[in-house]
Amino acid sequence: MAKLPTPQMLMASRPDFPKAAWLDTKPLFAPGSYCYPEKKDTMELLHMPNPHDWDPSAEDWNLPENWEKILCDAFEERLEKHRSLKLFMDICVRCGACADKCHFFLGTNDPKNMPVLRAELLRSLYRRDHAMLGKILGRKIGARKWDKEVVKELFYYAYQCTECRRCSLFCPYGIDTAEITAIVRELMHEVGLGIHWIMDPVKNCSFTGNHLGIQPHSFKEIVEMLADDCETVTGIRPKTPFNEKGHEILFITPSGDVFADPGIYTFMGYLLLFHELDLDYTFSTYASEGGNFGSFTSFNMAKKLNAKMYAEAKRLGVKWILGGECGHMWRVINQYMETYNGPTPDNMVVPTSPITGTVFKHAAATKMVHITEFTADLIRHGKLNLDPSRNDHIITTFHDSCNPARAMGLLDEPRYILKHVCNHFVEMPENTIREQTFCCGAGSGLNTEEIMELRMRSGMPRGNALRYVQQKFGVNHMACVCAIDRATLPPLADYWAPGVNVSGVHELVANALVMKGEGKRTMDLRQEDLPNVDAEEDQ
Amino acid sequence: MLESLIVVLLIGAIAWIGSAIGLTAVFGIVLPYVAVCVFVVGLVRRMIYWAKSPVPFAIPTTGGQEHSLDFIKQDKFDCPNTKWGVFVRMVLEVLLFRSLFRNTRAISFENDPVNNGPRVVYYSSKWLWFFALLFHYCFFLVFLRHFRFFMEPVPACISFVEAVDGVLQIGSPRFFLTGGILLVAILFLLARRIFDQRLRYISLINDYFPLWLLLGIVISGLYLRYFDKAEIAQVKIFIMGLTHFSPVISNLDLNGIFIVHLTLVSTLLIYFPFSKLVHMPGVFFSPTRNLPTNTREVRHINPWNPPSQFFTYPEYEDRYREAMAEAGLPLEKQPKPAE
Amino acid sequence: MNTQQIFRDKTDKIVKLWVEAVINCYPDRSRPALSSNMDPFTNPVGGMIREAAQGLVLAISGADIQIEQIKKSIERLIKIRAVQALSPGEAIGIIYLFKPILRAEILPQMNKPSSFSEYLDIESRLDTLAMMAFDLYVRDREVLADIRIKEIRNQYAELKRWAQNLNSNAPLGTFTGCGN
Repeated sequence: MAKLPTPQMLMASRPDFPKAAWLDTKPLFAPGSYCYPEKKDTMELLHMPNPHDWDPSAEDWNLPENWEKILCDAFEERLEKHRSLKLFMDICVRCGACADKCHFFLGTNDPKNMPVLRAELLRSLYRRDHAMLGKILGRKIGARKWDKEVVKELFYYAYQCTECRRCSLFCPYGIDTAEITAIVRELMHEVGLGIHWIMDPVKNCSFTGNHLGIQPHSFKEIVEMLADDCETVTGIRPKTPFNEKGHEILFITPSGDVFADPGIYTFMGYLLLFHELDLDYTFSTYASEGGNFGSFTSFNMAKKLNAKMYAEAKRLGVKWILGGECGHMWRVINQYMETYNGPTPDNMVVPTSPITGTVFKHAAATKMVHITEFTADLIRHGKLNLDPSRNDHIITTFHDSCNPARAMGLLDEPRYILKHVCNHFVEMPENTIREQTFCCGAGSGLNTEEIMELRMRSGMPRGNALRYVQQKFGVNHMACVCAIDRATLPPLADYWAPGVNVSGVHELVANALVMKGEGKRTMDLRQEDLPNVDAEEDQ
Repeated sequence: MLESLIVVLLIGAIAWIGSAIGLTAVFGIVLPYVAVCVFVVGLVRRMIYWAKSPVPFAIPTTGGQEHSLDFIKQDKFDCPNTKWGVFVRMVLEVLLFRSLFRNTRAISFENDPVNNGPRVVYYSSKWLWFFALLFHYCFFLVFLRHFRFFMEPVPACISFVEAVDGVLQIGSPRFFLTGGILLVAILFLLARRIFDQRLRYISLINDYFPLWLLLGIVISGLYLRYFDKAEIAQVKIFIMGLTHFSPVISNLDLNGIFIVHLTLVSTLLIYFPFSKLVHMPGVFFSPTRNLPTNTREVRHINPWNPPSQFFTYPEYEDRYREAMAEAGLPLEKQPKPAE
Repeated sequence: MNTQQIFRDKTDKIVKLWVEAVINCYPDRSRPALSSNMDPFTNPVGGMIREAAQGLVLAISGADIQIEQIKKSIERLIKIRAVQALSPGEAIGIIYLFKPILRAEILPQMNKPSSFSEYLDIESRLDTLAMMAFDLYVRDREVLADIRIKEIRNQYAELKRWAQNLNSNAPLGTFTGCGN
């Protein structure tokens, strides 16, 4: 028998942590905070080390017997391979400038989500084995040894980082947590720890070319369905060339845009734009996935998946590759692709726009151009007949996706396009856009529904900024250039700023595009009625 | 936090006692030589240690608009695609702490009209940048001023620095601004760590120790100059002896606090290569800052680039050939006719 | 002295005490983050707590208010608490943290026969607010469940249409509205 507790007692009844230093606190594997583990057979199929069955919430993770040696050796190996890792382990002064830059920290208030402590988890292990003072003084200066709890902690926080690099922008030494997170994830994979939402798409991309594992013929049919929809809206059925040799351009975009709402409308935007330009291009079913889930796994896996692009470009004999709107796809293309799989095949040349003649010299080595660079150039040269008033019912803002913003610098091209296809464009508050943009909270393979709560927490800074412009300017639309954003921002908006729609930039382009020989547009690509149409009918 | 203070005090006390019981030679001659050796060798070794690992990927953090189309204005120094741009970026970073200058702080605005209540904005916050810059520059100038003890005749530039530094023309000996500001800046950096709970949580003994050590060095230095008024001529003879590798000590009357000052400086030098203080050379190595953002224009080579292994097109076609043929997709090899 | 006059002098203090009480409900490890030295609210969640506090105190005081406005002021705090791994009781129980504060700050001045019923009205208003918070909480959880479903559905949106097409040679039109 007991007395009923007071509300105060209930409120404070959460498991409390002792007033201990961070070295002693342990993560709490609460549902909604961790992703489901990968399947053993997936890992076997991909030849990943030490595949085994395990459960993040269980006490024992069934690590291989010699797990400590595996991890120590793997860490040592990575130190020898990456100067960045050695450096980032040594030079952090813990000034704290990064702390409140992380959306995970702002949303969860968990101190270990401060980028500095996230890295410190690994640094504490580094100190013990690789720093003289750590060897002598140990714990006193923040060194500790590997144990199974530390492995759990590393796993927990490596999958609460979206590798968005916002902290690295503010770090006086340029310490990049994305680099550290990527390496911690590699280490975890060495002992067979990974998550389903990343490994399953990796497997699918690897063997079928798209993240859902749809076979080539079905993939083709789905794209053709989208072309049919284009016809419904515009009266024009764009062509859908597949695996054809001898074209000038190979077009690659994340396969999410072929399957997922609202990405499909962006894809329809591409189809219509290319048709209008009569572009000499082809899709490929083999290299149909631009997004690189391997980059959330390990550098090698990223290379492996990326290799298909140049291989296909070579086989089809194209001159250059045009890349669709995608975030991490462009991180890989812009900073890794040429290093991984270059030099490019001999048949490829420096990309030149066949419409305007602009030479994309900045892509001379990779020979890949971002679609917003391509389209901005078209608009600049007046090659597109645009009617922005069709988008007049939209007041849009633009979400800079982390990777194009901080690993590429693609900031003004999409804005240039938006300003030409929409009459109402407003920016979100300063310090939350451009290179300082806040992540959607679910990048780098964390856009899975089992951690929806975590995603809503970490997306809160972005949600707040969106809610602000919604209230202030009546914003009802957010454009972005990332397939993961198109999947993760709608829930974010539904939760933090209900009433805001999300789309890719090229959906708006195609809505505004006046095509040669098109029928009268009464609806947009989503087959929703255009509110401004009646007025035109009076003519 | 207190532990590291005690360690610094202990070092000071040992030096003081040492000088009192006639071990001046140990603390005044042996220790400085050892410290300089450890500092130079340690730092060079650390840099070699870093340099031995390759930079497999070009991963500059882009802090602005990329170089792409003619009509889109590139942010030349936050997203530099040329060597010159990178040079400027590094100069801005090293000399002006560009990244820290960007610092923002989430601040709650009371009574925001749109929100009808408080609203959080990410507001520019430059305090850390300001004091960090102050600290490093004053430290540098104080360091430079000390060359008057190392060189005979005193170079004109050192005299100039002193003249500017003492521009206030108060006190005798004349008050140097940098010394005072350095003290204030160190106290700010220390106060941040102690009173900001968030920072206290992440701070380790290795963060407090150098701050206490610097505080000890600055206080003992200020004491020597303004209160104890150490015999400058004697100190100079002593230091010149050290720098000419013919130390003189026997006929000099060296102050105990001077030995403490010298010992703390030696401790700093010895501690330097094994601590976070290596951020000084380290920042030059940082691949997110020191590489041009021309990664699509020029191929970056990874020395350990593993061989390419992937699911090739022929394997792919072998697996899906029948279905692809049926869907009318072009093929390299037609399927065998059905039997 | 009527209720609102008493509240006028006490609002700031009650807001402050309640914000502290809410922050104290978070485990030790996140407290340094929520209340940092210079301004305890230099972070979004801290800001939300404060925003809610002002709206709530206004409502409790019995001033003329617009319900929508009060809802809006607590909306975001409830939203963040709805995704913070708290039980429902813990998530909205923060409203009741006002009770001890009110009893310490307001009750002594109203503890006489003439105004005691007014004090009871204050606590009743707190109950209303708690119900309001509960409604918001449930709505948020429902939205959360909804977007989970919607996300899964959206991921495979085209795939489903394609598969439906596949099962029958009938044109698409005949399929809409039946069987899904």
